[in-house]
Amino acid sequence: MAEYDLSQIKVLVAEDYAPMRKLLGQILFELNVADFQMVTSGKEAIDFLEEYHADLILVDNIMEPIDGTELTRLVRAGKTPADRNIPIIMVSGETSKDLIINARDAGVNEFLAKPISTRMVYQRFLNIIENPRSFVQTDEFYGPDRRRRQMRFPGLDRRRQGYAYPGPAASAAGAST
Amino acid sequence: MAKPQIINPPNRLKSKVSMGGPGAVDPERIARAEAAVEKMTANYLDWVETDLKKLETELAALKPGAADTADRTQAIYRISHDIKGQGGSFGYQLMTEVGALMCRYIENMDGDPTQEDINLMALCYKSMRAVISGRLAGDGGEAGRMVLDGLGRVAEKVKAVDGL
Repeated sequence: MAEYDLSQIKVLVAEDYAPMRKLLGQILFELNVADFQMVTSGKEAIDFLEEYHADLILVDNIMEPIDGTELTRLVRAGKTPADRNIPIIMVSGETSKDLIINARDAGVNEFLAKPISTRMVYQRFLNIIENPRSFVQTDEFYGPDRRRRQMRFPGLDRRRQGYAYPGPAASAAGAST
Repeated sequence: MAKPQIINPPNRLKSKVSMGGPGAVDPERIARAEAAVEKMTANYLDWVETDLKKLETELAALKPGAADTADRTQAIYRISHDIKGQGGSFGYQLMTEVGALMCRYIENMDGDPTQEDINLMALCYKSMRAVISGRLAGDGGEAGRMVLDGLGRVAEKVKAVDGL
């Protein structure tokens, strides 16, 4: 695992549950993050970001007012004082497929399922440092590319190889696909 | 519809970190961090006690058909969700498992809880109490297995709705 010095980064944590704030605070302290701040809701995070120029946000999902998914959506839409491209890690006890898809569609960079550990937090930091995803802008979305990996087709590329389709459809070879 | 654009924003986080040096996150630092979190277990036991008291209060007041049933059920869900989220971080994996079961049960309920639903939620609460009072860290050994076996009815209902 790559060994980075995180002492110069600024992290904002938005988490409404006090024990989890303490745990995250301890983990960030132990990871040598010298400057981190805690808020208890998405609304408070937006207000705080007026003055605090965070390099990364850790958000819980279930918070009021403004949950983690909505906060992410607002950041990506440029409706908060934060940089639209700021990395956002969602830390959530809820790990249903729907929530993960919603979080991804809102524009989170990484998802961290509770219960968490120091190693898990550091691994998410590493992913953002070493494997940042491009951002995609469409009419409906702005955020990290939702395709995690560029998958290569394992066989021949038919368009490059002039592949002839077998059987009766062979006459269609070369037609646009 | 506009064509999707690919943007490669500057990696601000990378520009603020450096590789190696005395402040770097090396295996020793990770080990120290994990030891520090482990030392927080005493705090965890206080925190979870507070959550269990809140859960007990909400469950005692939860009545089928009452005006505040939906709010109380939501409160129970939130507390169980928090218990689920933190247990495993402090070595109490069973708390995470029972909390997850409670959350899943509430998510699968069809409308407001019936008396049977409340009884099964109370069973989850009692199991959490047993885990903490017995200090059943990790998988809890034989006692832990008995706790989970005691939740068989809750698990069966969750599985039935999940179609498992």
